Amino acid sequence: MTDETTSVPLLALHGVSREFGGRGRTTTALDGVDIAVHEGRSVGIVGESGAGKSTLLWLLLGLDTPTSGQVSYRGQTLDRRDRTLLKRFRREVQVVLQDPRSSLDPRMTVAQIVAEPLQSLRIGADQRERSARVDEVLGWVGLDADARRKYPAQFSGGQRQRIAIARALAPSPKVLVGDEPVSALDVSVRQQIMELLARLRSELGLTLVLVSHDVAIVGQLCEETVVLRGGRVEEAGETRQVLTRPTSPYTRALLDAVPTLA
Amino acid sequence: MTDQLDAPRGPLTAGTPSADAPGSALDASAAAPRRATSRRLRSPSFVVGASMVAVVVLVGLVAFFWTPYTIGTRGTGERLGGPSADFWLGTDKLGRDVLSQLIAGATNAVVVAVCSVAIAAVLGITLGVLAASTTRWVDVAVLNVVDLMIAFPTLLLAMLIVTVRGASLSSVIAAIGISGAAVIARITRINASRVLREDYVVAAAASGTGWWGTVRRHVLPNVAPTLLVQLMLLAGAAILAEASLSYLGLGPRPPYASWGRMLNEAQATISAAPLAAILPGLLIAWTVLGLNLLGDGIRERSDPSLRGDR
Amino acid sequence: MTALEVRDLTVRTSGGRTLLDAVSWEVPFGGRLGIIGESGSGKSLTAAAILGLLPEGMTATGQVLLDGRDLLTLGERALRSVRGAQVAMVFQEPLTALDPLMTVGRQIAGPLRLHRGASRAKARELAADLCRLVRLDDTERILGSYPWQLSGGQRQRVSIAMALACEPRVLLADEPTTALDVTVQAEILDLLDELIERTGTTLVFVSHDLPVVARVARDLVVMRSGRVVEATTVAQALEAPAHAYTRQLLAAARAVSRLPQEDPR
Repeated sequence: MTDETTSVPLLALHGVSREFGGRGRTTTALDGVDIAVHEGRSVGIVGESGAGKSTLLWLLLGLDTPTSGQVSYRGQTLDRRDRTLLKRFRREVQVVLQDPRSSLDPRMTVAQIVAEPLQSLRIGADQRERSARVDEVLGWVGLDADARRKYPAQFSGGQRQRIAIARALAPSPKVLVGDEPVSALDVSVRQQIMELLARLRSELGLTLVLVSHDVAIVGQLCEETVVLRGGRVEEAGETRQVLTRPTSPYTRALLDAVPTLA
Repeated sequence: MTDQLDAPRGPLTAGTPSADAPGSALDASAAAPRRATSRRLRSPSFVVGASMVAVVVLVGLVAFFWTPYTIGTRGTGERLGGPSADFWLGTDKLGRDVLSQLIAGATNAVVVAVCSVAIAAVLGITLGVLAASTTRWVDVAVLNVVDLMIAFPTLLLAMLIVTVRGASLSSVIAAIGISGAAVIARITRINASRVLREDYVVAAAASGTGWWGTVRRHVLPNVAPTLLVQLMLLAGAAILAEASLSYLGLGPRPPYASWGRMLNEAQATISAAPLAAILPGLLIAWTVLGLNLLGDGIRERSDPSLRGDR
Repeated sequence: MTALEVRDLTVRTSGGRTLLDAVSWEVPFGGRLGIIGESGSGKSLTAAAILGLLPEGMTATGQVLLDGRDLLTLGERALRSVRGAQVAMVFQEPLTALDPLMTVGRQIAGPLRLHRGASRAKARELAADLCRLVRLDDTERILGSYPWQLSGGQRQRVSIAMALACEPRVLLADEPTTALDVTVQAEILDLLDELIERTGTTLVFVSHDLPVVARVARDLVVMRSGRVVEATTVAQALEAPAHAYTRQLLAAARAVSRLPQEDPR
């Protein structure tokens, strides 16, 4: 990793391992992983299936506890039993998931969906304030106010992803974790959402943590790249360095396999 | 592949993240939102079922306040008399008015259905949600209890309760309610598990939503449509169960009326007074059929994939 | 000589909605046609319509000419002799396309026994040959495995083996690499490339992924909302697309697949 000893990382994994199973049959999903996310430097985590991306994602979101090692938030170890710390953590770290079809509750209106983090984290003094915030974030993602009364089924995949992003932005997070945020979208919509993420990154000072199998999106949106393979960090560093002059033959093979247009 | 059983069932300790599998392929729900389904296909089952049930409910409601003759242990008419001006559907072996008993039986049916379903719903949904959303131990415990309850015949349970509390409406309702709770618990558990694996639950957890918030906002509303259908079907089963138990003498005694008990009492004299024997049976069938059709109808209306046009 | 021609193919639902509107294209023997489209474009539906595998309630009109015979006029029994033997299909998700309760060996042998009347022993032998053809060299183990015991890439190779078992004239591939990792995808595309070259089978490759289609196909049909928007060659489309939609698609595909370039130092 690049040397950032001066600032405390917003989010970090220190020697994290995660094993599953028991009764003699354990699977090691992650093994001794070190990752640091500093404010203002977006990180992309690239890996194929079985690399441990989902496990990593859950640890980053504080939804799981490592078998060994720690997950830290602003330098403090994230203990899932510490409710106060967890609440502050959740305000600052939000997520956008992959599947636009299942990431929004089909029985809730858009307004209710986007307001959920505000309610759960007790942000906003009253209903009116929360409602205003909902309108504000919907505007940021390019949806107009009358979207609030509609249901997810009435929107396209790309629009639903925008709603998911709006929901994540509602509590004014510092870090936006994306799990394959554009993989399930058509290519032209994919471009729009990538542009949206880039804009939000610069206009709101968001730090992105993108977990993806898609090297290109990581290459375009993240300053740092981590290559994950078989639960271990294969290679990590400046995106440009890792994606143009990788040191690991695995990374090289990965890059060579990506089909490109002449 | 991660070992599903011992993996964290979080965020609410339910469901593991599928290791890097492609996104959920579940369709955008059998729980289509109320508003978006404005062009619902007319479901004949729903209309017919609802009408049939409405008739029974109305009659039961009327009979709650008034019946032509009081329901009692002895009647005022001649025994086994045929239909007459005084007794429109004749009298049974004790000279009691058949019509009054029939319509009072409707009240009984409604009370049984509503109360036992209510018990089954409250108990079953609670158990099911707890099993799906808390620790694995709770899940295993609930599953075992439920399996035991399902294996234990309602009849036996009723007999047990009756031995302790005597034959009555409440004994029967308790037995049916508890048995029904087991079935509802299983269905709730499966559906709640499915909901808890959805991405929006993960997103909710990451937004700080706690256990109760998730259950209240996401799990219950999304399992409600399927549960509603099952509760309708359970109501039909409850009425059938009460009729059987009353037939066997384990149900309510006069002045409470019961179609099942009427069947028992009229059995011996069926050739002399056929109406007293056939009509209760027909009404039981009518009510149960109506509830089943209503259940099917609700399912058809809320599940977009069952409609013709994609 | 035209191997497969689709003429004015129109598919409607029972409710009257038009899903495919007068789709027409053709592919010569030994040709490689790519059909590109976003979701809802009708590309997969076209493939299904060709093999008579449309979902319940949909009707197809127009013509699907295989060597002069209109497949749309054939009854189910006649179609069954066409499927697998003359036109074979490889699907996106091999887990759902393969029977989970049958070993892979029996599944590959299936079309061989059905269409070529091979005996069980002979079919087994041929199946082993096919495994080697798709570079699954551990044939004994593979043939004895169930689909869930194999990796995604292996399953897709099995699907390709099954499809090529009876040496069909046309191979229809519907998003065959979409569910695979990028390195596995590259291998499967190489494999397809080589096999098509070697056997001279005509390929129709359906995908939403333009770089993938460009890698495999020579001719290109662009679909949108159930219609053919442009029919051209891959080379032409990459250089100077005629239709605005194609240009748009190309620009977006280039934008999202752009990798960082080396710093000239």
